[in-house]
Amino acid sequence: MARRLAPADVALLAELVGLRLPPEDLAPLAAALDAHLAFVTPLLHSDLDDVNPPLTHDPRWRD
Amino acid sequence: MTDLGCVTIREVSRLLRQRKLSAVELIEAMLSRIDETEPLVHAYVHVAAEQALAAARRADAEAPLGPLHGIPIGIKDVLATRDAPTQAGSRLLAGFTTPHDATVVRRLREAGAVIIGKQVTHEFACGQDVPPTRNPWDLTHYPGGSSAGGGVSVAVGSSLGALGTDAGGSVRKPAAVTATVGFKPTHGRVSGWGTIRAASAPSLDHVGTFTRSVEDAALLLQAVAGYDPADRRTVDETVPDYLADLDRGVAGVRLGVAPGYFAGPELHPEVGALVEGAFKELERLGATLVPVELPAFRFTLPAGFVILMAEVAQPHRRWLVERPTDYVSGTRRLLELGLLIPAAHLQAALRARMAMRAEVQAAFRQARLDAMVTPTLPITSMALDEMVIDRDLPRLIPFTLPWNLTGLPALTVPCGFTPAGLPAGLQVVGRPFDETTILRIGHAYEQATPWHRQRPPLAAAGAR
Repeated sequence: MARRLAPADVALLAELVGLRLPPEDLAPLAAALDAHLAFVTPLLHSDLDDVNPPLTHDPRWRD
Repeated sequence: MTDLGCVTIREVSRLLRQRKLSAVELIEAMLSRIDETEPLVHAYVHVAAEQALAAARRADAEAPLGPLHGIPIGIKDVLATRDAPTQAGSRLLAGFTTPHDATVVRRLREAGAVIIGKQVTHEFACGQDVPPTRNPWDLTHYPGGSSAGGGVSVAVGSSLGALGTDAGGSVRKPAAVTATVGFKPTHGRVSGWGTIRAASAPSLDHVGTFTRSVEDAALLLQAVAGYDPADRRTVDETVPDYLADLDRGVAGVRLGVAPGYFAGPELHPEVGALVEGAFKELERLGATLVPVELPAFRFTLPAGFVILMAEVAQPHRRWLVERPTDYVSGTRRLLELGLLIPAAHLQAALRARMAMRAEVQAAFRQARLDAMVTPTLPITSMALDEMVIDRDLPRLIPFTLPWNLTGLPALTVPCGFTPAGLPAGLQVVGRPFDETTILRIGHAYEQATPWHRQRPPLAAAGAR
């Protein structure tokens, strides 16, 4: 099981992206970020290495 | 006066054209209808009564511009209107006005439509707060969102049509739970210029419509579709006549079904039974159902949430620092998370999205599909006092969000009611820019079934 995010981790991340969070928000945000990352981390373990991200935006299909 | 709870744009347009009804009479009746229904359903944040009456007087004095001439349309409160505030359901934009109309609003006005008011949205269309709007099929139930006011107003007859925005299902979801027709065209078909940027995830967001019939959806799309140089997401594709093929039926049409994703354990049996009934009806009408596999669709929720949160959060950086307490707490939390998402996750999500897009394109080609059909939602509307936003938002959108990620056009039409009297929707999904085919399929199904003619008791009996 991966280490859970601590409020101090979230405080550092928030500072890095320019957010100023009140201390009382750090613990609930850490829990929410933990839950979110647990939900989306399977994407990292999926076989997507050969798929490019969108390079241009055009919804039309090219056969 | 015709019962506004039951009529369509097409029917009212005919009365206006025949001078059996004036635009002023129609708007006056609509304003009365709003007065009757608003205390119960709260679909509007702003009713533009004076402006609407002035527009109706002009409409009566002019030669008809087309089928939307004099027709009252509601606008989601994230789309700019030059003569009414645009507040995106947030204290941060309280009283915000702009001299501009969103392109879609301008195009509606140019087609003769009358903007009747601004309609309720979740704060910044994020779906994290409980709006005051109520579902007219059961006033204790969720009305859908984020375009909460649009579906409800069309269902109760306090507008004849409405515009919303849809980044994960925000038009189709409220339409499905109010037994109205919700339509999200292809990404790039309709301009999103004039959508409040802080309420939009640009690569997922679509302007869509609420109506009482598929024909009305075609009428609204005809007015708002087309390339807009102000919105570089729009594509310079020819806009066809959306009514031309509406009555061609579905004989010979090949419809993909993907039970591996759309009939999983999250699908409630009552909704599943209604949608199965709709599939059988389409077969009876001459369509062929073709099973397809879409394994990459398992990425829908994780990829969709990452992209949605990351995109919608960016414009909020300054407000989150300077005015954090003006947000609803759930919205603020979502936006903060959106700014903290690691780049590795966003990259994986973007790649997953492309895998989904390639897979559905291959399915259409290999199975020679004209469209796909799915349930719109896996469940019906839930009781508001039982709803937990964090838990329930992902339960509501797994079948709508794939089509925001892939950009394909998607239409929801009513397909029946559960034993508790709550509506369910059938979703029809098409090839890029082939709105014509899904409108035709939806229209054929609608004409063969009674569901779209059923109105909530509130609408059928009047609000009093």
